[in-house]
Amino acid sequence: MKHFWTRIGLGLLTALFFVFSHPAAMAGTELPSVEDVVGGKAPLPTIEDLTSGKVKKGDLIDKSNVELVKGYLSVGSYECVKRGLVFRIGTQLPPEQIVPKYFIEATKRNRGKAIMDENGTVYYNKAGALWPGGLPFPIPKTGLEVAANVKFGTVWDDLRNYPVSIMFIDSKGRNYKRVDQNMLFTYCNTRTQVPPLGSIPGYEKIMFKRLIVITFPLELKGVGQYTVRYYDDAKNYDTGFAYLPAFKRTIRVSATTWQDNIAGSDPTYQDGQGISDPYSNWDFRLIEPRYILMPEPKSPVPLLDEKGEINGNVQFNVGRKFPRIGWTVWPMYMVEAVPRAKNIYGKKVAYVNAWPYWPSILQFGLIDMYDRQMKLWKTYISHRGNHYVHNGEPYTTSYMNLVYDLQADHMSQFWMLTDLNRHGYKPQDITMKTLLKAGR
Amino acid sequence: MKAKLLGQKRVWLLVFPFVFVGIVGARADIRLGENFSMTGFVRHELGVHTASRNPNNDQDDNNSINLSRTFFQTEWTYMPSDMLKVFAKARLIHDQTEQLDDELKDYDAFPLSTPRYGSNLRANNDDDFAAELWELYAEVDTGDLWLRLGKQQIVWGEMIGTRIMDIINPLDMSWNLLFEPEEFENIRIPQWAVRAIYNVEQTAIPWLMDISLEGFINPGDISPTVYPDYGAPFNLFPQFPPFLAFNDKDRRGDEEFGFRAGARIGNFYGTLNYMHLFTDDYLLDFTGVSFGGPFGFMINMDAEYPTLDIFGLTINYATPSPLNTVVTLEGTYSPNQPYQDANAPLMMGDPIARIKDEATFNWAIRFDRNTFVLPRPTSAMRIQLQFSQAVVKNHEDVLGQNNSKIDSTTDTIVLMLAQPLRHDTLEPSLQVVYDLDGAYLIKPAVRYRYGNRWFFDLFGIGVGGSEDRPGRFGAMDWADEIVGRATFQF
Repeated sequence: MKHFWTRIGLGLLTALFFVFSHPAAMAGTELPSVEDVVGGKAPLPTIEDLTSGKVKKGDLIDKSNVELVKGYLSVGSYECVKRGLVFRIGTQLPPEQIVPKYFIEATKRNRGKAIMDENGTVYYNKAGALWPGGLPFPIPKTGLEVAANVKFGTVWDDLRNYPVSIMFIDSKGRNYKRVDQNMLFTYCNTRTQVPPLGSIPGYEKIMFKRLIVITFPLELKGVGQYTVRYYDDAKNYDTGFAYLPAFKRTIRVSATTWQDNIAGSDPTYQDGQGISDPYSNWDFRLIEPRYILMPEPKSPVPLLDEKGEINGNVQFNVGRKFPRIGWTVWPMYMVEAVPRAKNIYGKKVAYVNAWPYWPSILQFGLIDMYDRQMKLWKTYISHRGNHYVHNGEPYTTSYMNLVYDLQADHMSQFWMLTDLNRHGYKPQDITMKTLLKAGR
Repeated sequence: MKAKLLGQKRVWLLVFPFVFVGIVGARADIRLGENFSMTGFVRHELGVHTASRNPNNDQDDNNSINLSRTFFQTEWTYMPSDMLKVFAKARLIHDQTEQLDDELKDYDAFPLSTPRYGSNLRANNDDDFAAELWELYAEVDTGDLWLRLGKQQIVWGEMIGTRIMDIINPLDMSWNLLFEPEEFENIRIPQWAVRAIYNVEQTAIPWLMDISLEGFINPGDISPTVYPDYGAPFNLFPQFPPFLAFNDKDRRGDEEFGFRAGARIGNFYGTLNYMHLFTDDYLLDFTGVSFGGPFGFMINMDAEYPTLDIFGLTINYATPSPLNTVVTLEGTYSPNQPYQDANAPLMMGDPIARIKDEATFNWAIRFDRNTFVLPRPTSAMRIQLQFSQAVVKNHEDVLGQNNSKIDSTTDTIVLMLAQPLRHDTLEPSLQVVYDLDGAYLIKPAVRYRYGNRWFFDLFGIGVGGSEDRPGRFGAMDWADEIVGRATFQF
């Protein structure tokens, strides 16, 4: 009898071992929740786990088998696959290879000390005290906290994109136009790596300074915009100046015409970095945390060469519309943003990265944009994959972001190389003088 | 021999576009080395005359072509580090206007190529061909201090269609007056100068931001406005009577300079400016009568370019969403703006030429707004509305061009509309300049961009109105034209 119970016990233990080492075998309900993954209580499941082994690493997903993973795709991504996007099931990295150590430490150091006002402006312990850096809300409870993580959880202190090549893609997948621009940023607050940390003395009211200069084609070369964004961008609106080489003049521009498109492309100014205008323009609602497929953090082969040209080995589908790259499972928060005032959009549904799978830029990883009739209009996909180590710290950036106007069947791809924390830009390096210098 | 040479030059300019179309790939600038790059364009521009004969010229019949020019422009940049940049803009220009239109008589299509102003870096002095270094300068950036040394354009001021603060460089109006789509970029004559900007650190006064100090000095490369030669389609002046003799007292060798300080307080940005300049247009000063010439006497006058002291102010403000309107104010005050003296003694019924200074105030206000006019998702329409005014203190004591009367105020409204379409590949626009005394300039235009390399412009110029004093639009109703430009950029 004793022997019998020993056998039963061993059998149960064996069964439990198989079940926990292959969570997919538990078919759905037994999968770890996103909250457990975010809380460090469970590892991130793979797509094999999620699909009970029906989809495996290396498999190609196209419109013939997309239904297998439909539950892990954004609506816009699913629509892209139906229109010809093909992706390979790629590889996720452990969080310590995605997030720099200094940022993990800053997040731990300041955990529980973030407070936020009704506009999504984050402070440290009390209103008015500037947030020193790190992710303010590792376990967000509301949609606004999810969004505030993006704005105040900036991993880098200075950034250079060189170039950002905007490719205009028509319905047949032809790249019929290109505009190149360089972009420089320096953060004046929430600094966690490049001294001075926290805030830069004298610039406490400014969140960042940015310079964008077009480098191609010649007709537009030298057109530049210098923008100042304030810490509380709901109270102090952006300040902007433009240099127009065709007129050799620096003029004041409105930096708050959010609904105009960027250089004729598909995204509008409010779509930059996901949601670029003040959060006070939107009502956020956290729908649910989800496992979502989106491009993998580290591409096995670089998609761009060192000059920013698309690597010749990159495969595309539907002309130049969809690069065929690796996608993998990320824990994400699904958030709905509804505009408070009249807007070209009826709503946006954003998929925002969850801690600790926090890439270095563009944490609004996927966004579906709906028109005022609530019909899906555009979709945004950040094509990660540009992963590198600098000064011993890992950085996870994107090679390309696309905005696809599904109604007009027109796409804009923003290909870019990104340097983070490499140049040490100071606030006085990004001024109207820089704007003039970069012009013609 | 000359005709043969000119013919060879024409061949060059026809060949260049095809050579460059062939060699230019998909990349942006052409890399000539790690730090050395070149870019540029080939353009042909054709202006068809649509109005009556220019009364200032001695033509038998009306000309049908106002302009036919081919440009081969290259921009060379050497940038060994972020601290140093050397830039040159070289232009080869061939003008075929006179050859294509039999009604036009001989004229110099490039009157800027004068020995007197030889430092314009034109390698030749032909009537229909120019090879020149239009701009040539070096920039040094030491951090807070930025210097640009060389032949350059210096633009202060932000207004459209009018030059209130943008008066440092003179204009070359000899080929298409002020009608180019880029307004002054291609006609503002670069001059040898040093320009410096110093960024003031943001710590001392926290509420004062983006503080900068700027200055320039032109050590003597002074040239006047260049007008079309007599006989050119856009010639503005009838031939002077043969008994008038002018002694040009140009300012070559004299210094011009200016400085300004700029800063931002909250959402307001402003500059305070001072400039010490010389007028770009001459004023006449009677010096006496002498015997000689076909009429037995000559009236002698000095053509002078008097000193100007300009005090200026700019302020701009961006109203936030939902207004999203930028308001820009710009004004200058000159205590010594020179005019012809209305109270000078009379000679043959007109006051003799004397120069008199009179305090003059120029100002303008502009509103810029990007507004969705067409159903989205097209881009917003760029709308600019500007009011400008010139105020002359004792206007009755002074006279304008050709001894014309000067009003106490001259008021102008400018409306500029531009509507990018089809992902900015098509851009219709309209500029209307209305002189409230009853004259106008209308400039409808459209630009079409094909791919990355080609763009095409088609624009019309309509000028007229009842206000026909010299220098006003009503006096130029013969200048209407339709212009086409094809540009290949590389």
